[in-house]
Amino acid sequence: MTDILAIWKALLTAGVLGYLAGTVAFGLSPTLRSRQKQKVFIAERVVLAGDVNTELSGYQVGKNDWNFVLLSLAFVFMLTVSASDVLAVIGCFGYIGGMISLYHRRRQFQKQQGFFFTEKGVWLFPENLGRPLWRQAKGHFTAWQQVTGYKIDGSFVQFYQEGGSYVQVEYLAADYERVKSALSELGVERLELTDRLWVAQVDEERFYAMEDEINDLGWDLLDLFHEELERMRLRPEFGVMRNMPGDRLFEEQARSWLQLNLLDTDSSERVAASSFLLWHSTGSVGYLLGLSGQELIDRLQEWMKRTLRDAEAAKEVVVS
Amino acid sequence: MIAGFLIVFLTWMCLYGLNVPLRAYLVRRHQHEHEVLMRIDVRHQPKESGGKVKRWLVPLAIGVSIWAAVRLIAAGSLHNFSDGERLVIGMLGGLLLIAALWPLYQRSATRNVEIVLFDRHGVTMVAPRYGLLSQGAFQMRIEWKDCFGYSVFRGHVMFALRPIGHVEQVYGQFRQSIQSALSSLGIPKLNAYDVIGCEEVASEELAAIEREVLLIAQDVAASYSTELLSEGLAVGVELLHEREEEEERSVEHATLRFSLIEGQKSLHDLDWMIWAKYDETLELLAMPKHQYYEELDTRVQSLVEMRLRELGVEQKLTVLQ
Repeated sequence: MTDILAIWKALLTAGVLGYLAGTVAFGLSPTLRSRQKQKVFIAERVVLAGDVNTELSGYQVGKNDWNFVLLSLAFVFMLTVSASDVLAVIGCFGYIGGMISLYHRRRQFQKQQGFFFTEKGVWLFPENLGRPLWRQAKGHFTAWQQVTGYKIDGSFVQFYQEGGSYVQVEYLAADYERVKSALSELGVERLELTDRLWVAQVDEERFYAMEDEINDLGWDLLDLFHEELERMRLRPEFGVMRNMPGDRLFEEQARSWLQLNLLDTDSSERVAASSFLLWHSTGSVGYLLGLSGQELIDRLQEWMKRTLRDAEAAKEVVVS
Repeated sequence: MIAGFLIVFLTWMCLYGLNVPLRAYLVRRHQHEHEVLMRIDVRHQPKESGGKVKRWLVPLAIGVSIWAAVRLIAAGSLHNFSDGERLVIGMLGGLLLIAALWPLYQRSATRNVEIVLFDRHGVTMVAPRYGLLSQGAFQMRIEWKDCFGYSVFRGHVMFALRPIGHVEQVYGQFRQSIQSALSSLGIPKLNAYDVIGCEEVASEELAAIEREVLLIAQDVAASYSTELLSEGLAVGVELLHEREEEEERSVEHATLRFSLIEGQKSLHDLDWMIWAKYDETLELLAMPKHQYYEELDTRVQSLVEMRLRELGVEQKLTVLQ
């Protein structure tokens, strides 16, 4: 009787130990990750934090469950073949440990990537991808001083460093606006006017609203040049244009831009013309104007001034 | 003896051999569950694997066989062997069987062929299997509701996913049949030009495509002839081959040129590239056939409109009911 009890106790202990070993090796990364993050939170002011599941949505993967099946079969085989209790206990430890680590390795958190934009720099916590405790993915810090600017590419923000290398951070597609406003608040420079986005990432209605807003803003800004235009006897023609009829925004080579034509008041002849790109689609990927707020106003104003200068030059040529 | 044989053989089956029946079962189950419209078997380049296993397995098998032969000669009969020795002999039998099966397995469809199954609701791609445990997913499926289009780029069909990302699928020899399957399913093609390797399309095929597009273009141009006759205009279509030598690289391309002709004089030109060759890459126009008509029509239309606007002839507004 005591023998039987003893072997069950031993098996139970081995199972619990196996569970603990498997969990420590593969299941602790969320706890460690949150400890790391807490430290950062205490040390620095965090402007934006994000957690992203990096698994692509939209496709299904047929999982491979044969690890579980074969491990179980091997365990049963071992129990039937081996006569000694010690082997059975060791096998139980291995079996439970193996099952638990397999379970942890395919849990959701293994694909979780986190990032912080703090006042000092950007913290990237890369996805763990089923690595054990001793090869854990560590938090990666890049200070703003090292960063020359950022680009947005699909669902990634790329922070470029001197020499062309970059650190990229994945953000949640819904956070697009928040990411950009946080970065402009932190004073990180944009490297390009446009963001490279997946076409399906762009919301059509939001884009039309943006077109309207920029159009209004453009007219307001043109009012600033009113006197100058009057003096030069020029009349502006301004508006949003598209090269595709209707709302075919996502078609290959579909473009939308701001057009500014300056016409002579007397002869209605076009003196200068210039355009400012808002959207350019290449089929699956599109380039969307990424500026907003004060930056956008500055850029538009600069562009208008340049066009005006062109008109001035053209007029001078005509006069001389 | 049997135990030794089983240990070795079952281990091999668990690591590799089980792949064959398992994948056959998965494909059969999939065909049972979905109405498969088209099945394409893409053959991959044979990939050398099992190198590590072979490296120690072959010397081991040779060593054990020599030992067994020597021992057999010395003992005279199998009955004189101890239990442990019998186990080893059984294992040797297993190894020999594996050695016989290995080349068959290496050349099997399971190992080399990727199966792409199109049905009304999605596409399932069953990857070639190298190992049972060492390799992850068995199959991958994209539902059409999550896919907003596809494009062809350097040996892959790229399925664009909504909202972010894409999935690449090797097409092998079946670029055209995959494209026709997709267009019959109503999946939009996002890029009109396929970016592929030069060696994938023979020059005769290119010429055939040129001729086909030219015929359609002439068709379209002819449909405008009566409308333009009153203005004394005509639309001409011609095929141009050009070769540009730039520094370090040459560009060769074929374009279709529409020109609006008045008398003998050409007023406006409009070019449409059919293919272009850069070093190793070929950009080839590839669309479903009805789309050629549409695209060419819009091009000729814009050409005609441009001229008519110049002449001050107002376009009649067509109202679609």
